[in-house]
Amino acid sequence: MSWYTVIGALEQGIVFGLMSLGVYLTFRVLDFPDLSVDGTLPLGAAVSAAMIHAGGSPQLSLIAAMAAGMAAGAVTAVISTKLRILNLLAGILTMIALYSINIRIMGAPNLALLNRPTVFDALQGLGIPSHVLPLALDAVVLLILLIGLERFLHTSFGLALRATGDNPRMVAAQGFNTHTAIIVGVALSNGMVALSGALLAQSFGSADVGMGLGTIIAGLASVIIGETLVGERTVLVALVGVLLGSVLYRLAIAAALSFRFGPISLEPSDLNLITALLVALALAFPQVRRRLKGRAIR
Amino acid sequence: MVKIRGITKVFHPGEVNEVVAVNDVSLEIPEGQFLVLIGGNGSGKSTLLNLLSGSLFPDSGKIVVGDAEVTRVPEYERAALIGRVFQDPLMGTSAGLTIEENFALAATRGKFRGLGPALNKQLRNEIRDRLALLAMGLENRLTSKVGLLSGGQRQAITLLMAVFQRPRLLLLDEHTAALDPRASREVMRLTTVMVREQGLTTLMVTHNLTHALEIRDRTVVMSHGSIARDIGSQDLAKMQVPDLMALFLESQGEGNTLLHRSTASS
Ligand SMILES: Nc1ncnc2c1ncn2[C@@H]1O[C@H](COP(=O)(O)OP(=O)(O)O)[C@@H](O)[C@H]1O
Ligand SMILES: [Mg+2]
Repeated sequence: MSWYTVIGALEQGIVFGLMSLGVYLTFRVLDFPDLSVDGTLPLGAAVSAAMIHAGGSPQLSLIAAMAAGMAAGAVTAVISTKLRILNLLAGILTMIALYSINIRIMGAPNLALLNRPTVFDALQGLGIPSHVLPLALDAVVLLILLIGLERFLHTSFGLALRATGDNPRMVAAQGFNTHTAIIVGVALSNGMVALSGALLAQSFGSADVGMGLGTIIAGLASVIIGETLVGERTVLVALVGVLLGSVLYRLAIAAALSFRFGPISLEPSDLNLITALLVALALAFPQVRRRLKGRAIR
Repeated sequence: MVKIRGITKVFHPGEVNEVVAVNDVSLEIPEGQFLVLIGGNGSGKSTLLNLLSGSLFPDSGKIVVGDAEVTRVPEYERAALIGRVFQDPLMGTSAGLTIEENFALAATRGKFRGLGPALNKQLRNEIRDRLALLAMGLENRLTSKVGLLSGGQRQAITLLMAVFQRPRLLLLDEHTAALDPRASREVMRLTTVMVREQGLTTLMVTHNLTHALEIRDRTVVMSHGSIARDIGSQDLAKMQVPDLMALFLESQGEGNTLLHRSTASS
């Protein structure tokens, strides 16, 4: 693996880390497995790309992307809570609907941003080497959101949100509407995912309606790797674990792609297979560890 | 003061498995009364409590707590008036939150929950003071996750949370039944201390007739969704456990209530 590949994996780990924090919020904090993220990641990319394409500000387009993601997340949550549709199904409905919506937003299945301004331009001339510029900016955005999320989860509202995923009956008995917690939480989550999509589009130089495929799986893999490695003693530890998981996951994929064994080598089109294998491994890891521990005691 | 006027709750109405769980029940609980509710399995005690807490809405009838009619007020709004402890010791707390975070939730019950920090020094001190009452050493473990505690400890915390802000009505549904005898005694002791100290209007369901007779305020016996006996403090003063047992058996009709459909009236 070249240094360049490592930087690339690191950058992806950071941008997708933002998305993984969103997945952590729904999957782990709210206990609401939300599949809409496969649609809200490209939604963020589409909104940002379309705005820049139309001559809008790249910075504002990030905010617009986040708002669009939050709205889409709120739709999923409302479908699930108010219409009493299973959360997995509600997410799939939003995801499918977004496929059409994203093409509408871009006017085509994809949109290139060649020679268009991006948020990374503003940092040009600060003496940061241009190939690590996206990494630097993404890391700053990520840090701000991580701290913000950590603070939020310790507010009165945030506590009620965390307890909702844990024990909704208790939350109702303590006088909080669990529907409110779910709607706000899923909206926030998808806002982060869409922001991650917008940053991706700007650093790749294009948005594509298919770029969201497997978002949920990658996010889940990061969450599980993080939990396995650092645990979840406190909210902060858990959030940092998710980021660590995201970076390691991208490095693992990069390593797998650069793997050569005689005539056998992996192609980018094998990525989905590798992803599925990695996630299955990550999911099985706690089980395997428990069994090994059990054996050691005996 | 709590007023229940002719409330009825039917599960699966019109279907073969129709159950009249609560059948035209009227009950008034004066301010500060500690009412004990007993009755066979399936006699409708939990349903009555669920109707009071707002977990269920009645088919007919009216519920007033203090001076507010709450018959159709959703549970999360009504919770401002009501403290509740469930039978399952895991039900009343959030395992993933720390002890102090669970209390912070109870401290904001019925208030707006915004984006301010949930905990501050003053609240922590108050939580510590309350926990010290338990003499379980929990006041030194404020940042431990509740999931690490025993059932008895969790139930004691749930009780403290239920009364953290003085509720207009305290609902206890067999809240010591799932605990080992020592924890059960401890939580029961704590319950009487809390209720008496704060003069709380309380409705407690128990199968333990000894516990029932420790509180000689008023004992109501339910059977097949209705109130079968309403025993006042003067009568309770003269009673022993066997007397209450005799009344209980008599009120439940013949044989084992488990074998009766609650719709089959005695
Ligand atoms: N959610 C429910 N759906 C259907 N039937 C119920 C439900 N809850 C309680 N019941 C029935 O209502 C009757 C009263 O139950 P419950 O109030 O739990 O009695 P208790 O608490 O006195 O043991 C029982 O026959 C029970 O099976
Ligand atoms: Mg019951």
